[in-house]
Parts: sequence; structure tokens; C-alpha cells
Amino acid sequence: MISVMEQNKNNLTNAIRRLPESAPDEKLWDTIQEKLQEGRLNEALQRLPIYDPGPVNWESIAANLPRRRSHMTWWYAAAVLVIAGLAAAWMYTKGPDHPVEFSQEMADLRLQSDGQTETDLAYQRLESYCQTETLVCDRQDYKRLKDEYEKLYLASEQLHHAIGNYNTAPELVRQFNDIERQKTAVLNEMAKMI
Amino acid sequence: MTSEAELISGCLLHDRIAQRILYDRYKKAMYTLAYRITGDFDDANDVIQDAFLDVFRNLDQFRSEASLGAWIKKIVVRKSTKKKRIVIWQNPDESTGEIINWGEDEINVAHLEAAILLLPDGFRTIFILAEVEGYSHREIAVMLEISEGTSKSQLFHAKRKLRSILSK
Repeated sequence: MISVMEQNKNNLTNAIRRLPESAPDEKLWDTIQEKLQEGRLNEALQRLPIYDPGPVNWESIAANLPRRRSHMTWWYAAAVLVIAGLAAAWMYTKGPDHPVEFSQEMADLRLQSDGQTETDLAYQRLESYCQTETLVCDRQDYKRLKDEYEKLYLASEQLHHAIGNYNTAPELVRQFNDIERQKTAVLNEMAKMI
Repeated sequence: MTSEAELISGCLLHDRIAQRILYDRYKKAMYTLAYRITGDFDDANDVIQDAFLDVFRNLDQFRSEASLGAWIKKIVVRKSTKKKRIVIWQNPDESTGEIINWGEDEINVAHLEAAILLLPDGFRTIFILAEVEGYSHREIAVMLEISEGTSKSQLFHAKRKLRSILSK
């Protein structure tokens, strides 16, 4: 006695056996044959060499690319802004309590010298004299005095430049006056000899 | 090992290290492809420089539908054909049914490479894309703006020419 379930299974099997067969396209075999024939070609293609570009390529590429701004750059920029802000705030608050101090110097023409003193003019007169009356001027002690005067003259010149127009360095002015007194003393000795 | 997504993110931020890693990852494949299409190392150098500059400048336009390598490869192919002013003749013919006999002996790789370089530019480009890079005729047609029939026809003629060169 065959059960209903078994009867259904047999029916299905018989139906599957009777399903129609489909043949592939004729070109499929050509393609398979072609692929088989190309086996050697494909093997060789797999072994083709791989090439490596030189390092110059990357350098050229990198040279043309924009650089990333690092986080540190932004930190530096932020720090500069904060410092600048604090400095501006400090100066603003400090302003009214601490006024800017300044002084004004005026040049008093009466105190200025042109570097040519009465002593120097007197010395020039002695020199003119020496060009005609050489007897005294050729003496050793006169020449020694003359050298001494010229050294003092140079020192006086340098001090004059150092002091400038405003006579604001008392120590230099004092030294300048000392030298002038020495020049006068030396010139007096020279004049006595003549 | 840096993932592709991490590399792309780094490159978008102009991170030079990420850019260098990406370049190192693809440089050989792209340089070799450019050389095979242009047939000249100097041209390949120019193509690679132009292509990677394009890659880094336009990476924000990359969509993950394809892999990054495939996207870069298309840029390299476009630059290479443009560099050599390669024009593919639109001549889809029916003579592609013939089966080319490549013989039973092993093909010498050096001879094969030399023979590929002797192919006309159009033949060589299609042959490299189809047989070496594995693109389908549909993909080649889109990439080179030709018909699929032209791609098939050019490939057949390229293979026949190549066989002829190798037989000499």
C-alpha cells in the first residue's frame, strides 16, 4: 500500500525528469577554446615586470601640494594673540596713572664754541712768527712745548665732539676746561721764549 | 597598517605622511600601467605626477562606490591616453570570431613586453586594459568613450598583431 505522501514524491521526481534541456550558445565553446589557447599568454602576462617610479616623482608631487597647518602653529598663533591682548590691556590701564615723561633741551648759543678758542688763535700767531723767525722756534725746549700744545689741542678737539651742543655732561666739560687751562699755560711759556 | 578610510581622511587634511603612504601603496601599479600605455618611462613619470596631484586635489570627490585603487587607476588611464593623444578608431567589425593560436611553448616575458610596446597605441591601450588590468569591455567602453563593439574589435586585432610580432 503506497501512502499518499510517497505517491506525491514519485510524481514530482517524474516531472523533474521530463523537464526540457537547454543547449548553450555555439559561441560559448569558441570562448572556452579561446581561453584555453590563451593560457600561455595569460601565464606570461602574469609575469610581466612591475616598475617603481624614482624618488624624484614624490618630491615633485609634494612640492606642488599645499602643506597642512599643524596644531602647534594654531597654538602659537593663539598664544601670540593672547599676549598681544594682555599687553594692550596693560598699557591701556597704565596710561592715565603714569603719564609719559619728557624733557626738552635748548641750545644756548652763548655757551657754544666753534672749537677755535682765543688760545688757539694765539698759537696760530706764534706759528706764523716761527715761519720767519726760526732761531727760537728751532730750539729743543720750544719744540717740546709745541708738541705738548698740539697733543693738548687734539685732546681738546675730541672732548669738544664728545660734549656735543648741549653741555649736559658736567664731567666732560670740567675735563675740557682743564685742558684749555693747560693749553694756555703751555702757550704762555712759548710766548715768553719768543 | 593604515586603513583606506584613515588614509583618505589624512589626505583630505593635507597630512603629508598620509599622502606619502597612499602614494607608496599605489605608485608601482600606477607607474607600470602608465608605462605600458604610454610606452615611455619619461611620459609615465609625467603621468604619475599629474595623476597623483589630481588624486590629492580631488580626493573630496571620491565616492566609495569603487575602490580607491580603481578610482586612481581611471585617472592614470585618462592621463596616459591624453599624454600620448591616443585615439581609438570606432570600427566594430565581425572578424573577432577567429581563434588565435598562442602555441604550446611558454612565451618569453621579455619578448612579450617588447611586443606589447610595438603595438599601435590604440591596440596597446585596449590590450593592457582588458588582458593585463582585467577590465570588461563595458568598463573600457565607458573609460575611453568608445562602444563595446569597438573595444572587442580592437582587442582582437591587438592580439592578432601581438601574435604576429611574437612569431617573428
